[in-house]
Amino acid sequence: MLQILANGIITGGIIAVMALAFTVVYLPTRIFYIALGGVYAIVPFLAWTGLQWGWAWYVAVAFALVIGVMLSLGCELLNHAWLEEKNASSGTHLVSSLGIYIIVVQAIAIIWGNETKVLRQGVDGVFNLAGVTLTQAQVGGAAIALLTIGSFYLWLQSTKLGLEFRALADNKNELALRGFSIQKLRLVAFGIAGLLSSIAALLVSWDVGFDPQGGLAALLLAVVASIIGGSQSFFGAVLGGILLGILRSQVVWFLSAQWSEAASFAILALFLVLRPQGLLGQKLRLESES
Amino acid sequence: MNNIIVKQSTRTNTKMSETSSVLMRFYNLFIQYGAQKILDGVSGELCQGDFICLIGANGSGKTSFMNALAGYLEPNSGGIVLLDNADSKSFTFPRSLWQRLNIFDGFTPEFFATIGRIGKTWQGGRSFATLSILDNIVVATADQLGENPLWSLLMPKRVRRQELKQRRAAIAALVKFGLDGRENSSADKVSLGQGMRVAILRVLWTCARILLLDEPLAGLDAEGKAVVIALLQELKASGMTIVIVEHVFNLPHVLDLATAVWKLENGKLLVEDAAMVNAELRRSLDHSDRVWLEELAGDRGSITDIELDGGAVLSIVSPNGVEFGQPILEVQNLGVMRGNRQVLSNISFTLYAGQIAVLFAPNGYGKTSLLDAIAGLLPCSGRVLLNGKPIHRLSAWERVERGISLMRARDNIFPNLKVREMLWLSGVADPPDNIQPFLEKQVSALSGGEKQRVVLACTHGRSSILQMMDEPFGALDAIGVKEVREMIEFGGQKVYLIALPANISGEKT
Amino acid sequence: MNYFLHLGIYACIYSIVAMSLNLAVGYCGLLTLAHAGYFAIGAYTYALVSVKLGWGFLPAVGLGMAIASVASLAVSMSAWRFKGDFFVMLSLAVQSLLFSLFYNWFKADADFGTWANLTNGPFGIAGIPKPNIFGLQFQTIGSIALLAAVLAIACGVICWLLVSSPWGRLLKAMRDDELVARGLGKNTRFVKMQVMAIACAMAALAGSIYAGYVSYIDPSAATLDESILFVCMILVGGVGNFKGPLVGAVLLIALPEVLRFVAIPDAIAANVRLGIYGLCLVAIAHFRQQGIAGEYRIE
Repeated sequence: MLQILANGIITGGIIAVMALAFTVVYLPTRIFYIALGGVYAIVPFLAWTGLQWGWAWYVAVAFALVIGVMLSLGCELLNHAWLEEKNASSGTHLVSSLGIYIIVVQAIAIIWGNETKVLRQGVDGVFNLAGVTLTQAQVGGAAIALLTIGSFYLWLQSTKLGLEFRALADNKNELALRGFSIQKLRLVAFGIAGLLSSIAALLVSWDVGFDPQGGLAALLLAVVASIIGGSQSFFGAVLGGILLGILRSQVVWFLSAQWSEAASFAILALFLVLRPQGLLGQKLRLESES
Repeated sequence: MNNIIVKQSTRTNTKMSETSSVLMRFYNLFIQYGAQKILDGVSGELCQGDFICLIGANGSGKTSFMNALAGYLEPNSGGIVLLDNADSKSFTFPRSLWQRLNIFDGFTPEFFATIGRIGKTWQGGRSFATLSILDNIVVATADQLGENPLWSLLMPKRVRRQELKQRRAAIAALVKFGLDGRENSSADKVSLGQGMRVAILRVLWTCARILLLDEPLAGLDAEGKAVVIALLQELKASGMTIVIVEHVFNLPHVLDLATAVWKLENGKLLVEDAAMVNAELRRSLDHSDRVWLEELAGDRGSITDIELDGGAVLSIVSPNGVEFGQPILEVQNLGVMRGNRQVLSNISFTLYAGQIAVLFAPNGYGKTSLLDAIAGLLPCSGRVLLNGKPIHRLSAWERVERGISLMRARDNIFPNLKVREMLWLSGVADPPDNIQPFLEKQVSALSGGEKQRVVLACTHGRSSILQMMDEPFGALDAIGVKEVREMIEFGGQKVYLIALPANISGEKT
Repeated sequence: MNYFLHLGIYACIYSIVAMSLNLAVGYCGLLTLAHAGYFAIGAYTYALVSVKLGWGFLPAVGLGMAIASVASLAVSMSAWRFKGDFFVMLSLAVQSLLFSLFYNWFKADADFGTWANLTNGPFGIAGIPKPNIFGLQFQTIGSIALLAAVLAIACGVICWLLVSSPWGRLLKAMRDDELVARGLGKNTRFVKMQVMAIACAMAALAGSIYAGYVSYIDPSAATLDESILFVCMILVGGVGNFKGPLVGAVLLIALPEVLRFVAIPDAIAANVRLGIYGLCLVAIAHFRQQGIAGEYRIE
């Protein structure tokens, strides 16, 4: 029982990092950043290539992270910022983001091929804590996820930039009227999202491997997590992620891994009916008021 | 009115009747957004033939209340009962799980529209833009056979017959409403006044017997208002039950028709007598803002009135005997579009240091759009120059750097930040004494008055050469108004541009 | 000649899909990434009942359309709570669900078509008979092309009739302003259910024709890539009128053929094709939101 819970919390932690990445862009800018799945997909391939070239693991990882962040910044600079200039609707942003995702994934498939790859060979070491068996990858993953989420919160709550960021999520216009560059803050948002999703991608691919198609599935989990936790707050995304991880691991245990998709959907459906604003969400004002 | 609208009342004098039938009852309604209480135990009932004016300060919850009564917004607790002679349908909140899952019997706007026969109109009309005027009306017909895809394919003749009948009736009704000849115009090409009439006719077409009208007179010219008010008179005479929210300057027109006034204050509902409220209102609408300007000018300055396109007046108070150098603000041919509609066009004026400019414009004119456009929050056509340099291509924060400051009327806080953080962002180093007590509170948890204080304190944070204020006196009491007026310096280095609500020039209250 | 008939059949199949998506996206604003799943429902249903039960074309297609309509509830109920962006993700969830259904309902030792192994998983179902209507066997490519064309035209006529009916007007009203439509007493949730049911049924019809023509079906017809292809087709071609979807369908056929002439290695041909579509989407979003020939700009 505890084992399932532990597995769930750890996978949940990684989902939470991705959910945070998604929310970090969605909350302040209302952009549905589908291309984040592309960032998620390409980063492990970059790390893999680095390893193939004989680099030390930390160099390969750093390389992958930097490119991931740059790709994310590129999405904003070359795409979304332009659309914003033209006052594009959110659907337009979404379609363009989908287009970028497709281009990135196909580029990956053309350069690296379509098969699943792994970042490491061999069997993992295992730890035994209080009757729960955890692999090295799991423990490492949990630690890094915790560190990442923790650092993000520290940054958000105690730094100047973090405050500006929170203000951006609250009221973009009022922030602009106080002389703060919305353009710069949006770049910060996309940069952080790129970093977070790259970390999540590396953690997952270290554990189970990766393929070009994994991005959208991970993004879907992230979106479900943020809906469950409440898409109006950063913390909601994290909570939703952990909860989703726990629930999914229960399902995988009692049914089988094949039904985890159905499980995610069922959980989402349940929440939409019972508590559509998510766990931490608040009653929404009527969207029609303009 | 044609007989489509409502069954004729069998009583001759609805106001005095003892046996008024109650159409709707609501009790203990409680609505809360996060830490903010909008409605705090509101109860009352609506009887056939009532004409209720719903009043209250901005943000007092009038819109949320109306939305709840129309089935759009689910209150946190309380209940609503819809009555129809023998039948009654009651809703208690919060809805239980079974009730939420039950797709047939929900608390939804369409249910309230069909069973409660409640119709709501929205500010600005909100016609269906891609449909013609005629289609806008006919689409509202209830129980159309053709609205079921199966029947529209399998029974085309019957569908066609029904459709033709409705179209003929709709064209006749449009004539009565003064819209003949416009049936086939696309709904986004008609004027605001016509659009409002279409919206009212559309909602009447659903055989509604309770109308919830949200600022139907907003943005209309004198002729438009007269037509709509005449329409309301006829509807009242035919026994329609109406709840109307109107802006304070348009209230006197509708208070004449009202049977009662509901006032929302601090989340509570008070029922007041229409005649008393009307008298009080007429007393307070004594152009006090204009008097203030004259006091400000005194003998040191003079007032110039410029008429702007669309029925607004820009009253500029200038210090006497001062040589004007370079203008601080030049607006040339400004135009603003909101969606497909041209909200403002051809706005031009010039302001110099030391002046105070007040834009008197009726509700719906576009005061907020104008100030937002100058500040850079809205795209616009035309040119805007600050100190001689064009700024209309700059982003909002760049304009702020150059010395523009805007105090907005709504949506002007950071709900999830602490007061201290909001002040810090505004550049306020030393919070004033009256804010010290709630520095650590979250902004959304403050009361309306406290929020306004914080917003005011924020304007002291940055020095600016152009200070714009959008309806700054809106949510304030007398002391607050005095404070803000004292803040505005006349004859200094800055120029002020203030937007205030007013009647259309030439109209007497 | 056969080559053109082959292309023509595909053009008809994709036109039907495009018209169905036109209803969902262009008139209801519901951009769904789950459509390949419903296409596959039609294909698999036709395959199973014609191979295992010997049913003719019409009853098989009817059953497929019925199942797809009922299954469309998964997507339409998602639309109740969410619109626009979040709805797209929910449709993605439905897509994953449907795909895993086709891929996983499989047991190696059981015969396909039984409850233990309904879809034969990754091996797919082969040997699907060509369409047979009341004994009339459509064996040659020419006859199948004719059948496909007739069905495509029929779908087009039905869509046109629906859109010009009061129901179509209601769709436009809902698209313009759903809250106001609800305030007039219109049950918009029910209407969305109807739209999705019709759209998914049409997709299933297209899937059945596909299965009958190609004689083989496997889960690759239900992948996310296929859904994305459908969505690209209508976004690039345009929605909201009748020209747009047709342009989109033709483009979908033409692109791989054109690529063939550019000598792209087979291994990456599919990727290049999808990549070009991605590029088109970005271009459309930036420069021409209504698509090449459409009328409705994505909200």
